Amino acid sequence: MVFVSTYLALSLLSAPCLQEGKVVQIKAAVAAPAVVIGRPVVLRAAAGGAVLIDSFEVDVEGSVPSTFAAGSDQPSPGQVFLHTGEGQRLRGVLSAATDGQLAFDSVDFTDPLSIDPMALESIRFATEEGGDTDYSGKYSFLLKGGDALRGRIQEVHGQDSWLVDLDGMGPLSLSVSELAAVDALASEVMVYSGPFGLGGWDQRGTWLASGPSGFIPETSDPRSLLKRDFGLNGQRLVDIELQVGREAHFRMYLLGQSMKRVDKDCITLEIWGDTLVAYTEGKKRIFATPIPGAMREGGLIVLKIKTDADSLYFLDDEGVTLATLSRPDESGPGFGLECDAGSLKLSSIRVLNTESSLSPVRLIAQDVLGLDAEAGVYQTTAGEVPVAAVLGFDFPTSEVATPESEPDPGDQVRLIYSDGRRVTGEFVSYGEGELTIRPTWQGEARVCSTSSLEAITVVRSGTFQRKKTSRSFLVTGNGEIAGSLESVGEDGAITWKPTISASSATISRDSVRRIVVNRTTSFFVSNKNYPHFLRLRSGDSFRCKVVVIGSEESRFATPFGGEVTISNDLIKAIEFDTRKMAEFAELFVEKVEDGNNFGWGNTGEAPRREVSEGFDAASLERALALPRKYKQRRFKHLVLARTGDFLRTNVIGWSEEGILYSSGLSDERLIPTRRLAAVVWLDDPILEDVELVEADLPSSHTRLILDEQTCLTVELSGADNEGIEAVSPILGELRVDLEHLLSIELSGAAALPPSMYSKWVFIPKEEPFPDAAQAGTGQLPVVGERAPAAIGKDLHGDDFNLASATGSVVLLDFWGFW
Amino acid sequence: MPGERSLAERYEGRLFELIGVNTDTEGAAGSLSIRAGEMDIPMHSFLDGSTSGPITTAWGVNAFPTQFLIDHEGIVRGIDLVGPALDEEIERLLLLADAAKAERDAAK
Repeated sequence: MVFVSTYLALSLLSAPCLQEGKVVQIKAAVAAPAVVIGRPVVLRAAAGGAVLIDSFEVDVEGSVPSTFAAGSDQPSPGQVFLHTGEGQRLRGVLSAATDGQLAFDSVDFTDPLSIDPMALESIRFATEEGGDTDYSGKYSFLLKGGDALRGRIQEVHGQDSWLVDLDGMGPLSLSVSELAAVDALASEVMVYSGPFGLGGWDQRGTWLASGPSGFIPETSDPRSLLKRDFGLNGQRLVDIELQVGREAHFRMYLLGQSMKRVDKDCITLEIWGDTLVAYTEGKKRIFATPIPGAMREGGLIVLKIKTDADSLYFLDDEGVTLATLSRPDESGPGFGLECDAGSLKLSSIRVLNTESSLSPVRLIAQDVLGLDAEAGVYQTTAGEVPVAAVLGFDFPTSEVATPESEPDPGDQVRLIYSDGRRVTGEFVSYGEGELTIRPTWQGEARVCSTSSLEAITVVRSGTFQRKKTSRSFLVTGNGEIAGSLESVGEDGAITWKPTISASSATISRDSVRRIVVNRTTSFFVSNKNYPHFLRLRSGDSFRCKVVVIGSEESRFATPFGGEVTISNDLIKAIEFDTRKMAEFAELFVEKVEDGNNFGWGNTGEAPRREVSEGFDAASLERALALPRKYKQRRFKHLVLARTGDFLRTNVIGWSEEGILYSSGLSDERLIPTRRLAAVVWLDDPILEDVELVEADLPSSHTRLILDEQTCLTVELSGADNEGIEAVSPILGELRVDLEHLLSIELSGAAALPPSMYSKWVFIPKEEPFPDAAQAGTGQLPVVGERAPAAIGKDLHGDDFNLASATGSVVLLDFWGFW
Repeated sequence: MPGERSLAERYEGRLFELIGVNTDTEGAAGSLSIRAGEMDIPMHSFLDGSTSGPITTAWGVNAFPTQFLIDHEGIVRGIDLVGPALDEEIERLLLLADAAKAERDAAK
């Protein structure tokens, strides 16, 4: 009864429910002869050393904590998570398999999947949250060694150490110098450790500094502190996760020997609209990438920055590397970070790991020698292991060198708890419901609770590199799985072919959150042919060309097959210049909130943009809340001038010359078209004569996202390997090539109620061209003379003429990234 | 770009336009910068294709970056002004532009 599994990496886990007196039944059997403990687990070693699992089934009878019962992030009893590399995950139940393939019943897919176990990174079993889940007064302590602990601060001994009561480990005197960060779990205060001591922001952006009695708000500007070496120079590198507002601007310094070096080696990250751009001080671009939907969390953008000794890695939220930046040289600078808190609206920086997470943290490769049914233990090269303690198997990837020898007590191990706690140290021994480890941050061995322990890994040297992915992903509430879209059935069911499965399977569309498509070519609609941009109340948006704007309905030419007629009630806005619109929208909000900038003729300096909030429906609603004295008047329209001035009016007439309006401030007047930015039809509760119309939206919200701005609500009607067929209630039948799709959101955000919107109709910018400029002579223009003509294409490929700016002061900047 | 951005923000809402002539070469750095430009470079830019593109050549520009300050009537008022000198000149020209605009509006 010996089977050898050279490549079987066994991670030893404890079953917390056992220790708490709950019943755990594990089916265990080894292929011929089978050994049964309770019920069988079948393990079989194949020739050549590869491990194949014939069947594997675990029943854990125990209650799932209510906090997780509703969530999809925890498996139910009996279920497992299959993890592959690159963060893929599937939840379900393993069942018997043939020909070395695992049969897996996913909770999402209706068909069983047949999976090659060698494609897996690990199988994780259900774990149960141990201890209390009351986080009030508790902190998460992130140590510089990468460990994460949780507990309460009991006493503060000056600036040097704290007495903390750690969950599952008892009291500990924690040296502040060991801390990388402290995260107050309940109050969501993030605190950082740096050469300047501890400090941080709370979520409202208040700067807090550490003090003897806790965290004390201070008025000092954290920027000046962060500007100093943020503890990251030399080998002190960290992985950080940045969550920043939509308008972000922060700088990362390569810390050098002198300030000169710092200036030269500064990297600036900016968010320009929907693009994240990183460039050096010399405007040398490092990368510019569209911000994928996955990086957005609410109004925030999540960017992960990882480091190892040589490079900085910029990753999006799904772990895909956006860019890599190498450190200049071996003896050169490290990386520092400065945050311009004024424009950043930083909500958190999480120091995830002070070691490189790209460096190896691989699992025990322990040869299982046998199974003793009577004693309930696996016999392994490292000794006996209780079967009940096994909760998962990790499969080494081929990139990891197979360890030459078995791990011994004394090896460096890392305990990983399901709640995110991590403890690294020298492994000593197992005990009943606990194990003993000598943490790296303390000389003495400590007894750690095994409650909610998820894995014990052995830290080994070597290189582990994730493979780059270039695939489509199906994202459900239970995980995500790479593969390809095969078809969409009439009932909306989706057939998906996972890359790790030999067979394809059907999944209900209700189970799918989105399909992230690996786009090879970009979706591009010419600004020239479709100069306008239509936003519908359903959330759809796409480029178009306005044919007719009628009083009831309007007609548009679309890139999706001809002209469509759309009821005005469905229209949120017609945009003629999206960049200008955003600017005006912001001005608009601020001016209304001022409450004292009404009327034409106010050409004074426009309010500076100090609030970097996006222009969302809520702020629009706020903006439309008029000062009381104007509330008696019933104006149907709001006219925005290009200067940012605005006026509530009733628009009476409309011609090529401009708009005729009447308002309480003046008699009938004409506003010339060239001064107009927009006319807003107000959907304002105070305007009783304007009736809100419920938009006729489809009940489901399947969205095709073609690019960052183009979004279509559809009913899926079919798919093949090339494209998607769908029916849009607005545009009719569509076919979109997969290569043009960014993602398919199957249960995306529901459309906002129509009452949240105003109708926005924008007038295109038109400017007179009084004197045609002459072509340049090739000589540098002389001050005092007429500027030469500049006619060409802009960055969008549209015609662009310098003369269009006549009437304004122009700064013409010959620039480049070079 | 931060300089341009702050300039654009400072005169936001005024009769001021920051217009770029992008001289990146198509290909290497250019294509990506242009892609970035599709999104939200703080100024509306010509795509001139290289540092010897048609506009750059016609204007006789051979040092980069070069900036021309042009008034509301299209007259060159300054070349490569920086710092307070630039700000003062822009403010002065804005006054003229505002006055001209008021005049035009009154004529309507």
